Amino acid sequence: MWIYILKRILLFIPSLFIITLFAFIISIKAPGDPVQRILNSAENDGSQQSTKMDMNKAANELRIKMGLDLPAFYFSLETAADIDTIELINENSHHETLKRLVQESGDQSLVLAWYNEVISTNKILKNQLASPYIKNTPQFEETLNNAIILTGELLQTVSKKQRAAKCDSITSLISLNAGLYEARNSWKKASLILKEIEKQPKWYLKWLPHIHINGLKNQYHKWLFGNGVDTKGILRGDFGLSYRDGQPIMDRMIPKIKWSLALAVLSVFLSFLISVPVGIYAAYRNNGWFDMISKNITFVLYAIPSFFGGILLLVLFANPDMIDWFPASGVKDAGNFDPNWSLGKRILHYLPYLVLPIITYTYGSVAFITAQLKSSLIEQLSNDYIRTARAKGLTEWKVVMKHALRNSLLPMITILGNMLPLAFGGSVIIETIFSIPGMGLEIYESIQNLDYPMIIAVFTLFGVFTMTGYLFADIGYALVDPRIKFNRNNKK
Amino acid sequence: MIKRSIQHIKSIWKNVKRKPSGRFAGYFILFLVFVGLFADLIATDQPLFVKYKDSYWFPAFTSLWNEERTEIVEDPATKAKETIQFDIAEWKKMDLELVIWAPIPWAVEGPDIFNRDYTSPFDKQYSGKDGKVVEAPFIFRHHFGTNQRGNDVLAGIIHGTAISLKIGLLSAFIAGLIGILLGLVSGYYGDSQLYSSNASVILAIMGLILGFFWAFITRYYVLFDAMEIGFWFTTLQISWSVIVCLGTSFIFAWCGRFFRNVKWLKNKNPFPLDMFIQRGSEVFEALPKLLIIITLAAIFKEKSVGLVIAIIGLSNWTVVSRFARAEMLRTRELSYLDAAKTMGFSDLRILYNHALPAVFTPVLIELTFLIAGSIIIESSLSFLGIGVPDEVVTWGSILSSGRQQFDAWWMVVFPGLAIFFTVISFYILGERLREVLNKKE
Repeated sequence: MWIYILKRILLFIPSLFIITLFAFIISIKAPGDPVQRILNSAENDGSQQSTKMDMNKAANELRIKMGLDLPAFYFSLETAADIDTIELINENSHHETLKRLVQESGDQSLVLAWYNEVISTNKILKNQLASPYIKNTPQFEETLNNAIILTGELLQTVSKKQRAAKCDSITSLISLNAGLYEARNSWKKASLILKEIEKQPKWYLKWLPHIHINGLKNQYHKWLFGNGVDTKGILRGDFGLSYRDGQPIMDRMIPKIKWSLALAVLSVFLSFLISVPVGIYAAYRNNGWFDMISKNITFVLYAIPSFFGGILLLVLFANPDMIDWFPASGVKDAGNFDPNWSLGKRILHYLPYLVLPIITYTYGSVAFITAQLKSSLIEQLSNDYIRTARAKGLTEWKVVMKHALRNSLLPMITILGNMLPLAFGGSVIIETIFSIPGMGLEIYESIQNLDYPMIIAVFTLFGVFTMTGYLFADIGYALVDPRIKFNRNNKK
Repeated sequence: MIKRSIQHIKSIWKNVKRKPSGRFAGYFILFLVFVGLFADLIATDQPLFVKYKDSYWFPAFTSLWNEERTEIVEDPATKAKETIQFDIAEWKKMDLELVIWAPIPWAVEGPDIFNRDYTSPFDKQYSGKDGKVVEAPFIFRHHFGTNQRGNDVLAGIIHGTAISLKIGLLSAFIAGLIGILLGLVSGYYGDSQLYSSNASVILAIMGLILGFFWAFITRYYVLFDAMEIGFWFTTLQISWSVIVCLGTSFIFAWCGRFFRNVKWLKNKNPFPLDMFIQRGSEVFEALPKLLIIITLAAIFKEKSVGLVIAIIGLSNWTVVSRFARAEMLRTRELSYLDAAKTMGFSDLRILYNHALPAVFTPVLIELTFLIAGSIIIESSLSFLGIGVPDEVVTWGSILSSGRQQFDAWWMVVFPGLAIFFTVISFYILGERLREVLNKKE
C-alpha cells in the first residue's frame, strides 16, 4: 500500500508542473504589456511626469528588471530562420513586422538590410525637415511630414496588403516631389530589397525546426524560483504585486481566504449534518413515504442554480417589502462594528449576515450528498454480510449504523476531497450576490480589472488545491478500504 | 443504420413515457426545442401577416432571411409614396387594414415607451392609439412585465431559450465526442494492452515535437491573424493545426515498423495509455474553468457564443470519459469481445462495431445530465456578465439585471423558473432513461 501512496505522490508532481506551466503560459500570453501597465499606474499617481524618451528608457529598465528580456522557457523551439537578432533592435514596435518578414522569407540579412534602408530614408527626410537651409513652403513641409509618417508607419504595418499600399504611396510621394530627391536613392534600394524579400528566397527555412537550449536563465525558472534579488518565486509563495494597488498578492489573499474558508467549512459541516441522517433513513425505508418526499425535495433543490436560489432568498428574506430578517449584503455593519471586540462578540455580529449565504451554499450539496449516500447505502444493504449480520440477531440499529453505514461512507471521502478547492476559492457567484469579501468576490473583481498577477495566482493555487484534494481522497480511500486493488488496470 | 437508430430511440421513448414524470419531461423538452427553433416567429415586433394599403406582406417570415427588406407603397387616395423598411418600421403605430400579430408582439430589443421603468405584469399597462394613451389590449400586454428600458421580459426569455438550448446541446455534443473517444480507448487498452515497439515510441515523440513545430510555430502568425478575424475561423485553423500535429506523430510512429534490424528498437513494451489519459483528465479538471473562459475571452477580444460552447464542452469531457471508461472496463470482460478478438478483427473494428454500442447507452444518460449542467454553467456565466456577448439576452442576463431592482420580482422569478424547469426536466428525463435502460439489461 505504501508503494501505491508513493506512486500516487510521484504522479502528483508532473501534474503540478503542468498546471504551473498552464498558468505561466497565460501569464506571458495575457493581453496588454505588463510594463506599460505598471508604468501607467505609476503615472496615474502623479509621481512621474516624463517625456516619451524617459518613458522608453524607464520601460526598458523595468523590462530588464522584471526579466522580460529573457527567453521564456528552458529551451525554445524556433524556425531555422533566425529571428533572435531582431529582438536586439531597440524599437519594440518594429519587432513584429520584421519578425513576420523573416518568418516568411527566411532571409534575415535581407530583412535587416531593408530595415536599415527604410530607417535611413526616414532619417534623411527628418534631416531635411529639420535643416534650416532649405526654404520650406508649407505645402512642401506637409508632403515631407507625410512621407516621414508613412515611412515610420511602414515598419509597424503587419499585413501584406497594407504594406504594399503604404510602399506605393511613399514611392509616388518621393518620385513626384523633386524636393525629396535626397531620399530617392535609399528608398529605391529599399523597394528593390522588399521585392527580393517577397520572392521568399529561403522559404524552406520556416519548415526547419531549431531547438535552442536557454539554460536556467529564463522567465519560467525565475517565475518558479525567484531571481534571487527581490522576488522569491511562486514556489515560495511570491506571486508578485497586484496591478490594482501594488500590494503583494499573498497579503491581499490571506484575509479573503478566511471568509471563504469559514463559509465552506460551516456549509460542509451543515450539509453533512442534514444529509447523513436523511440519506440513512431514506435508504433504510427505501420507497417509503419519507424516501419519496426527501427524494423529490432533493431533486428540486438540486435543479435550482445557486444564483437563482440566492437571489430568491434575498428577495424573500432581506427585502423591506417582504420579510426583513437578514441584512442584504456584506458581513458587518460598518457603523456599529468595532474590530477590538472579542471573538465571540464579533462572531455574533457576523452571524445574521452569514445565514443566507450559508443556506445558499448548503442546499445544493445537501441534495447531492443525500443522493450519493442513499445510493451507496442501498447497495451495501443488499450485500450478503448484512444478511449475515441480521441472521446472527443484531439489532437493526447496529446492522445499519455499524455495518452498512461504515462502508457506504467511503464515497464521502471523494466528496470531501472535491470540496477542498471550494474552501480556497469560495464560490464566485454566492460571494458576488451577497457581497462577501472572500476569494470568490476577489476573483470576480480581479477579472473585471484584468489584474493578471492575481488571476494567475488564483489559477495556480486553485489547480494545486484541486489536485491535492484528489490526492488526499485517493490516499484516504486506500487507507480506509483495504480491498482496493492497486494495480486494477493490470489484470490480464 | 439510421432507420435502426430511429427505431431504437422510438422504443426507448415508448418506455420513458410510461411514467407521467418522464412523459412530461420529454414533452416539455420538445416544447422548449420548438420555442427555441421558432423564437424569431414567436416573439417579434413585426406582424406575421399584414395588409397595408392594398399590399400583403409577411414581415416576420421575410425578415428571417432578408432583415432590411424595404417596400414602397402608394396611398390610393393621396398618391403619396411611403417607404417602409420592415425591421425599423413602427408597425404598432401604423394604420394597418388587416394584421395578425405574433403570439408575443415584442422583440427582445424593442423598448416600449409606454411601459418603461419596470412595469409589473399585474399593473395597468398602456399603449398608444391614435395619439392617445389608453390601457393596453390583452395582446399588447407584457405578460411577464418589462425591464427598465421597457423591453418585454417574456420575449427575452423566449429568445434566451434558443441560446440556452444551443449551448447546452452543442457543448454536450463536444464533451460527448471527446469523452467517448478517450474513455473508450483508455478503457479498452488500459495500461497493458497497447503494445508498441521502442522505435515507435521514440519516433512518435519526435514526430510530436516536429508536428507541434509545424502546426503551431511555423503557423504562428496564421493562427495569430485568425484570432483577429473571428472565433469560428480560429477554431478551424486551430483544428487544422491539431490535425497536423497529431498526424505527424502518427506517421512517425507508423514508420517505427521499418526498424526491424536492431533488437532493442524492435522490443515491444506495453504503453500506459490509460495512465496518461487519467492523469491528463485530472489536470484538466483541476484547471479553474471560469478563469480560463475569462482569459480566453480576453485573448479573443470579443465575447462570442461559440467560445462559451467550446469551453463548456471542452471542460466537460472528463466527466463523459470517466463514465465511458468505467463502462468499457465492464464491457471488456464480456465474452463477445473476446470472440471478436479471436476472430482476428482489428482493434478499430472492435471498438467501433462492438464496444461503442454497448458503451453509448449509459453515456447517453450521463449526457442528459450534462446538458442540464451546461445550461446552469451558461446561465451562471451570463449572470456574472462573462462569456456571452452583452447584446445577447439570456436567462442569466435577465436575472442579473433583476438583481439590481428587487421590486421587479418578475425579472428574477420568471427567468429563474425557466432555468429551473428546463434543468429539472433534463434531470427527470435522465433519471427515467436510467430506470428504463438499466431494467432492460
